Amino acid sequence: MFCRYLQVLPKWILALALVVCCYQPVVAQEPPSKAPKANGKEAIDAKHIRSFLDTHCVRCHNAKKQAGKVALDQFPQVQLMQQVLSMVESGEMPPADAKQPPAVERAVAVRWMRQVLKSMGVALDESATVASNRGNSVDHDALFGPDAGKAGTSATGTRARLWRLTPKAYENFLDEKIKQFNLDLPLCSKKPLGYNFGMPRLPPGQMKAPWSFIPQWDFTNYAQILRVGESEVEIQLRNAGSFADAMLRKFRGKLKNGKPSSKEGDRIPQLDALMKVGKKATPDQVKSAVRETFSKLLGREPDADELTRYSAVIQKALEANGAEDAARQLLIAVMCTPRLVYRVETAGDGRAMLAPHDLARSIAFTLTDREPDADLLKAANEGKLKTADQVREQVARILKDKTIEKPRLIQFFREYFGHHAAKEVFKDEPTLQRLLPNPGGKIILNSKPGFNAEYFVNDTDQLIRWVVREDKDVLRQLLTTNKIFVLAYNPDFPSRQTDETQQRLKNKPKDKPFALLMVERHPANIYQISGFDIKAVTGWIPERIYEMPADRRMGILTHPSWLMAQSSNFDNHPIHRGKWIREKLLGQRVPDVPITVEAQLPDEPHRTLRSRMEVTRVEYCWKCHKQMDPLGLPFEQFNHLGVFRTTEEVVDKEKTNGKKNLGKDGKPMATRYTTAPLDTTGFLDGTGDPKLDGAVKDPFDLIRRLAASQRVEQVFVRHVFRFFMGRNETVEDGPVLVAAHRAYRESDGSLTALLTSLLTSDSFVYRTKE
Amino acid sequence: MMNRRTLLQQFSAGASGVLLSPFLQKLEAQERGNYRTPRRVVFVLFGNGFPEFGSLPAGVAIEGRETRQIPLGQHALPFDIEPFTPYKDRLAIIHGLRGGRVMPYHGGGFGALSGLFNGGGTARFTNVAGVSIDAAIARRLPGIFPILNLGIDPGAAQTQTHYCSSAWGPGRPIASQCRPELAYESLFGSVGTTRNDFASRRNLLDLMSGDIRRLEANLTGLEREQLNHHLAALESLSRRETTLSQRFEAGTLTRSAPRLPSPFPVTWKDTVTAQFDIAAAALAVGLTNVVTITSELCAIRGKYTGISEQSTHPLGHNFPDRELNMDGWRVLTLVRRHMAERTAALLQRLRDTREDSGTMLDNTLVVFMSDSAETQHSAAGNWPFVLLGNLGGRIRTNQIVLYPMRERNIAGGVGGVGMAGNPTINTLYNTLLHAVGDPRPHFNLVGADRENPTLAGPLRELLVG
Repeated sequence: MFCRYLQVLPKWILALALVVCCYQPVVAQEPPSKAPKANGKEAIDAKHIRSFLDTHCVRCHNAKKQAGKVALDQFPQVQLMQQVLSMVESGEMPPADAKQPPAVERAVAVRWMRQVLKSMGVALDESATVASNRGNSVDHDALFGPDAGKAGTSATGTRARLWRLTPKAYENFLDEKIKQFNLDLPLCSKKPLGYNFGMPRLPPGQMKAPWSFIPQWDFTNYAQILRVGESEVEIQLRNAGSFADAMLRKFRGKLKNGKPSSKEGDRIPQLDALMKVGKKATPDQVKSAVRETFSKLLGREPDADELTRYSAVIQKALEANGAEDAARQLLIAVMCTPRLVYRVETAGDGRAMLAPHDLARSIAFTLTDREPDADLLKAANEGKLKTADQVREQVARILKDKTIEKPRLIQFFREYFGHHAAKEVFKDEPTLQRLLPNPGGKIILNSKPGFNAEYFVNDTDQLIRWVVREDKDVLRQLLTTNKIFVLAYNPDFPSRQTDETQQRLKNKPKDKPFALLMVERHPANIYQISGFDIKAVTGWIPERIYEMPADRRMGILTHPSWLMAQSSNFDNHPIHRGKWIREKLLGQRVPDVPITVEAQLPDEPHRTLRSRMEVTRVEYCWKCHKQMDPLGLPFEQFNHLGVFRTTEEVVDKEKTNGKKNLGKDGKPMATRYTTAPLDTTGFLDGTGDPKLDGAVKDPFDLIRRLAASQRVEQVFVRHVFRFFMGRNETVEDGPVLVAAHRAYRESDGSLTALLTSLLTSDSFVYRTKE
Repeated sequence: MMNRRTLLQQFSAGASGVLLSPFLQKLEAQERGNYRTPRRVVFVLFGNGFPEFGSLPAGVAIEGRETRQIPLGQHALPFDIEPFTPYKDRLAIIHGLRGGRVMPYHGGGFGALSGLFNGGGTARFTNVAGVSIDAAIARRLPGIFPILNLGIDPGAAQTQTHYCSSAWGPGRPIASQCRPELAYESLFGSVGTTRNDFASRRNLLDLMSGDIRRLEANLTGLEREQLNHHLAALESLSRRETTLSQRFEAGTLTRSAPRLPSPFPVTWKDTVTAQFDIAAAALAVGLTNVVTITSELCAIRGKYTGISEQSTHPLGHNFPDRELNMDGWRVLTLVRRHMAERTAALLQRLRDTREDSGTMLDNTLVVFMSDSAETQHSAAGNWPFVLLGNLGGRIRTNQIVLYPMRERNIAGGVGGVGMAGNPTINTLYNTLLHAVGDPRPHFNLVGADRENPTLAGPLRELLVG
């Protein structure tokens, strides 16, 4: 196949062309605009911009020189200002050979320009605040460098916002209500009754969340993902309907197990009263029913507006269809509250600490998938969530309490490493047959009910849980340990390893080999654990920790799950792997692929991947690719299923096209393979940490050096911030990040200490309207 | 003499307000000058595969190195699809399409209608990687109900809804309604009562809209956009319930509703019949333009009760049903024949309903297929399809289309495997999009497949013009 890289124009040429095209008419036709005269703040911002332009731009872009036909000695008007913002924000300007503004100064200038443009009525793309691909926009040194915290504003906080709740949070809420009212409905958390060839058989009547989140290779944007559409609303209504019907069945005496419930508090007395009175109910009785239904279901009283609106609708239903229908309507309406869909964090005008109940929800949903527990609610009710110490007390309590499930922690690592996407990468059967080592039984393939990719993901997840539980040197452990769990059971994801299977395996006779009782087989020998033979193993193994050969595996980046997630259908993906390291460990931005690039490697399977990738060495491709390829290529140590190798398999052209291999139609009957020497070298360059830069021998050398870097640790802190705050860090967050990193280091790498620091910071507890 | 305007005015003055029947909808639209003949597409999916002998007339060779188009002409239809004989002139039988990235082993899950890889192993039954073809078509052919998704959980009458076949996009599955009485309730109102549930639902939706509006006031930017979308969905549903409420009050919904068996059906066979009756009524009365019926929820599960008490899985392995004294593959022909009979009954209902100068059938297309390609343990070498109807003349019918294939032996007869370079189901789905007026460069192709013109479509053998 023909390489298309030569068609690419250098990004800076394109950028310059764009600037020139846009600027020309601006200078020629429009008079320079004046700085906004608006009230104080915009005027101050404009003054700062003027100072920045004078210092860094006007030497070339003045009325006389007009470099690029752009003059900035007058205050730029709207269109030109947008271009200036784009150039300064992307780092294109000032040019590389000119004196660069310090990182903090650049970041602050960008903020001023955005504010001024906003005041001029320009609708700016706000996704930069949340989009994960814009995560490393702020220069690392602006956050952790000597000038950190000198951004000009001390007050930090997060914009008022809305988060989508996870499907699990929705289902947990329903489960709590089913338990609270002792309803004759299966819990949402109840495992499938069994699996029909991989398809779950759900308990009859089980409610499910109206939406699901698809695994991403990066952080899920909970603020924007999946807008609620008609389909979701319909399912929400249906779930609420099932819930209401179960409540009404109780009222009619068809109680659970045929016996009346003696449990206190599992009824809504005012609703019962309304149903008894029927159509004769007074408006006050309707209001009482509304008030108590809110209180029992949502744990709060309706406000005046809600009381009026809900009461009016229920009164109408009462008159039209009678008491039972009205009660049903009320239950459905309250169970369709927006709070079951969103986590709402508003601030009123200006900057303010989150209201106690909102803060309680924020803490709860940041760490768990549940509404605030009793202690947290109590603190909110008693006004004990108003200072950083009070918040710290609650955060520390939840983090310390081992009985509280904290699925958000494992979810962070899933989205950070992206290893769970291994399940999403399609591998065809002939490839799997060819590349997987024989497990000593039937190989489990993509199409068969129990593919192995899920198990590799589960094994990595289990290791993460273990490291988080140990809570020591967390990042370094994850990057370097050669420990692994095998056949790990994943409680969070659908799996054929049901609770029953787990119990059956745990209770099985000691002398019976594990493999005989497993529903699926697992090619665990990919890990090459010394002496591991699944056929000989007895007892429940998924909770046992094993060691992989230290010279062949080192941390998650050498796990089959991560390697598969960062692979393509038929090959390794050194570019993605390198990009991951550049962004997730070094905290730098790799520009998006220019739209003019039709990125394809030559279709020459007789050559090694490394040699085929030489097409990226062309100067204008290499400008970006040098940031990725040399970091990804050391992982050629493994094939794209994560199997360790010492040679690379390539197509044997001669044998494939040899006479012996040709069919009657003159075409090869099968592809023949041979091996080529493996090159696992790479290069670390431009990392911002001089101790890191230099030649890399193999993936283990690369990982070892990265894991020892303080900068990598700081970048990790940035990512933890990003996930748990639900937004990208800004230059004002510098002190918060520095404090969090300090907490991490002083605690010998404790994730608990790091999170406690972040979740008690102003960035977490304060909200601003804009 | 009463003209159209008078007729409309009379109806408007009545209790019903607007929109009483497809006929009157049409009159009203003509009056507004925006009338277009509605087009309809129905997907019928069943499990355990659709073997070649189930749709290829005797005497037609499977093996061939070139693409062939054979007139259906005098060929007699095989037993499985014999009920389609009255519609032979509107029939296209397709063989040799490949599954591409979809693994339909034991059922294609969400891949069957999307042509997408939804994840390894069993993930295809639960993960949703992208939009399905029925939903993509529904966006083009909007109706009061954008899509009617009906399922049958074989031998499990307690299942109410299931996500299995269709989706609006990644992570946005569309629930299949597995109980006829619940599907009936959504479309025509509560069975046997005079209560107007549509009006109640509208009131609830309006209440929900009020809650969202209140939230909106405290937010700006992206979040406000998100809420606007939520609000639009609530308002759209509210409008739908208003329309249905008016029709309910006027009695037209009840009149056009099918009669559900009493007690409600329990066996697979009776449930299939009831679901098809509901689908036919919904199409005929103009409640929807897109229907998907899945007889085993795109997987392999349960029993075809009413036909056989043997489980569906052993039947696919050709284990015999001792009670019926029949090999598995023969029982499966009975299953497919029942699906074909009910499909034919649906076509009959559409043919009996006048539309423009012809009948509703003229503007309809049925896609009759297995979610499991040609066999239970399919590797998707050949994914057979039967298309019924020409969608207003857009589909070439009265033909058999065979892409290059070689023969292989399967239980009950001879099967086929399409050549590696053949088009995939994605290509056919893109052809359907072209036919409904939504031409795209490709449908759900990813990676290098996008560069392959063979996979892009449309299939010229099937598309007119």
